[in-house]
Amino acid sequence: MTPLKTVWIIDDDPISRFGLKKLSEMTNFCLSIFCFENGQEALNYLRYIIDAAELLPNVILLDLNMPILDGWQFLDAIKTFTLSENIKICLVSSSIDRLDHLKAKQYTAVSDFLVKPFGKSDLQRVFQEADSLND
Amino acid sequence: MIKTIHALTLNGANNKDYRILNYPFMSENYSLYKQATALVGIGVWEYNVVSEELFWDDMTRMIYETDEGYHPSLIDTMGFFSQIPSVYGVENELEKIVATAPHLDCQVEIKTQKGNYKWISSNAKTEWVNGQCTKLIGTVQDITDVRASIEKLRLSGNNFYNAFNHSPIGMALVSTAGRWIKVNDCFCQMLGYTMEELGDLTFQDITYADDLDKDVLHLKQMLNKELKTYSTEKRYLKKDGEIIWVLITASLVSDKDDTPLYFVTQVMEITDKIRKTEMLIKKGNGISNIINSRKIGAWEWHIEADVFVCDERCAIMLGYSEKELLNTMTKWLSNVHPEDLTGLTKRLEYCFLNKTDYNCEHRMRHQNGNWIWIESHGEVIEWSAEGKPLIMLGTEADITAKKQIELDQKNVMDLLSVQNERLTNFAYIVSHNLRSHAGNFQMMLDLYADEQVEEEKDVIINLLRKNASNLSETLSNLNEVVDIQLSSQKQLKTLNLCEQVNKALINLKGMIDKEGARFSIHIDQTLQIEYRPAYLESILLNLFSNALKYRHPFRTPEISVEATLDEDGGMLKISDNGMGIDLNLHGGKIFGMYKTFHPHKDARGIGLFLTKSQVEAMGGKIEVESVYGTGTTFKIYLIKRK
Repeated sequence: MTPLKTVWIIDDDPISRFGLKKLSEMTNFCLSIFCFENGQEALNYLRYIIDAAELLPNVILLDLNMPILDGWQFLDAIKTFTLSENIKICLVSSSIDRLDHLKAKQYTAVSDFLVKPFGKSDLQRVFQEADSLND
Repeated sequence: MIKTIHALTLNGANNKDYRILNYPFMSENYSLYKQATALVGIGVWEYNVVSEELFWDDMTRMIYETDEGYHPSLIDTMGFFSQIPSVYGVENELEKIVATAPHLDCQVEIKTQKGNYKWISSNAKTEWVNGQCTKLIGTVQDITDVRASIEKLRLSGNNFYNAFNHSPIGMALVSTAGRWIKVNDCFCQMLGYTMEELGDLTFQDITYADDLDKDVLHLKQMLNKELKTYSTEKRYLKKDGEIIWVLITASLVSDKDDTPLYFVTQVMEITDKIRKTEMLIKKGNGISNIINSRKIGAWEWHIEADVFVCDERCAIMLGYSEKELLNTMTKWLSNVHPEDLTGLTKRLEYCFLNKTDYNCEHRMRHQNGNWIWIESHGEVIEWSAEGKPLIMLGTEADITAKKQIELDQKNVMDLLSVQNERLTNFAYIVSHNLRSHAGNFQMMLDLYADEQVEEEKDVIINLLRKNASNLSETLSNLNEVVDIQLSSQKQLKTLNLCEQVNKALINLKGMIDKEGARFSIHIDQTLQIEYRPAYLESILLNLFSNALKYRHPFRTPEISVEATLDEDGGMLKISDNGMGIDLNLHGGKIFGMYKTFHPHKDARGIGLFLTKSQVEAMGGKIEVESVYGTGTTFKIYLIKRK
């Protein structure tokens, strides 16, 4: 099993960001981890690297509630991009609102929904599934 | 009969000469007499008792339709009488005359020589000589016509009595004193009395007390010749006490001297009809009461001529004392609320085009200047051959009260849905924010347990501390929100808006100076509002500081503050020339909790949420207009709750 090259963490909460980064590192799956404070920052970077396939992330851990551009708006924005199906987007939120989970199902790009708090093993499973896509 | 004739002749000698007709009476006066009697159709005869000779003149012969030279004996004349009893009658009369009476007068039916039946009237007079009846002189008159009239009368009299007795309607002859002279079967059945029982009663006895005066008055008027006949509806009391309604027609019969004899009364039972009428009247009253209580007016519109006829209720509804003030549709429409006029006209046109009913709810100006809500219904009842509407009938109902209730209900519903939305939002916020802090605690503690490196452990501890302080801040924010949700209309104060704005600006002086911002205030210095002071202060501070925080990086912040006052309450408008917000992107959540839209270090996502909560808690609303990169305008409607 080859470790994933890149994981993006898009979350406005510094504590949450720190925790996700730490957990991701502990899975030993990632070569590099990128953090963004909101959807807009991530979107700006994505636009910049869109043509450089090797720089695209394998997994995006996306928070829902964020200022400026929230998780949903980010998902709406990347609909216009032709992104590889190999990019796995996993929603990461403390929301247990049924409506959020229903809404998540509307986005084909979204493959998982992790509800905070979660442990290392949950993240490991997500990474493993993403890894199998790359094989 | 022969015997009788002999008896008549007992006292007279048998003088054959008498037949020679040279009688002195005849010779002297005959020609004159003959002329006279011929003139009036009277025949003359003479019988000599002594000679038993009978003389007939020409007229008599004409009446008897005999040959010209016919000379009957007395016995011969008897042969003319059509009926034996009549002959006896004549014999008796003759006997009487000859014996005592000076005069004879009888009417008999004869069969003429030609075989015709005739009625004749015969008069005879006796002449006496020395106490002896010597002569009978008489006349004969054809009275067939008269007898026919009399017979006719008799027959018709029978008809009347037949009609009276067997009539299907009640009939009665009533004396001028009110006593029953004669009543028919139908009348008896109607009242349940026998004829004998009625004989002991007067009409007053069986007339319903309330109707008696009127009845007696009518009878008096007839007796005084003021009325020839009268007809009235009245009540009778039946023998069993039941009341029946009758239509009676009475007329007075008088004799030839105009002396009142009796009343002829026709009586028809109309109880059913009266009951139906009473029911209809009751129904009619009911409908009228309904119409009155529902405040429904009716109108008729002659469309081509524009003649509008409305009833008083329509006029009263609009406060007009005279319905003539609304005598054209044009005048009527001039009172319709301008905003409702187009809709009303369209509905009318639709109704004319599709031949459907017309229904419309619209406002109209009452004469006192208020607007009232009217519900109109109409229907075209007459169309021209070309399909043009000619006459329309309709009703108008005042539904102002109903509309007010609808409006109140809508307001309550709006308020409830706003509150419900806020509660849902709040529940979501509470759940989400508290859960995210709880999640952070758990994640950090898990990491801490696994962490081997001391420096990393310190980082985690710091983050735990930060998380704790975030949690308490969130709790205090939520507390503030709960406080607004629960706050009532207590603590309202009359505030001078201009003063409050200036106070807020003083509080923000440091920030204003730092940003070099320019505020321009356009508020009437006397403008007062009823508001909760803490809210107004919070609202102003929030909006002003937002305008400064989210200033455009290359422009001097210019902020304009205006206030206007209208019938719906006051409106405060705060416009800036800052960065603006992309409302297409963020419009739905601009007033949401923990929603921030600018990468600003102080953006907490709580200010506008609180501002909106406060404005709404005071019964007002807040709106935003913004162009990204140009500026933002907030409008706060300071509606006072009723």
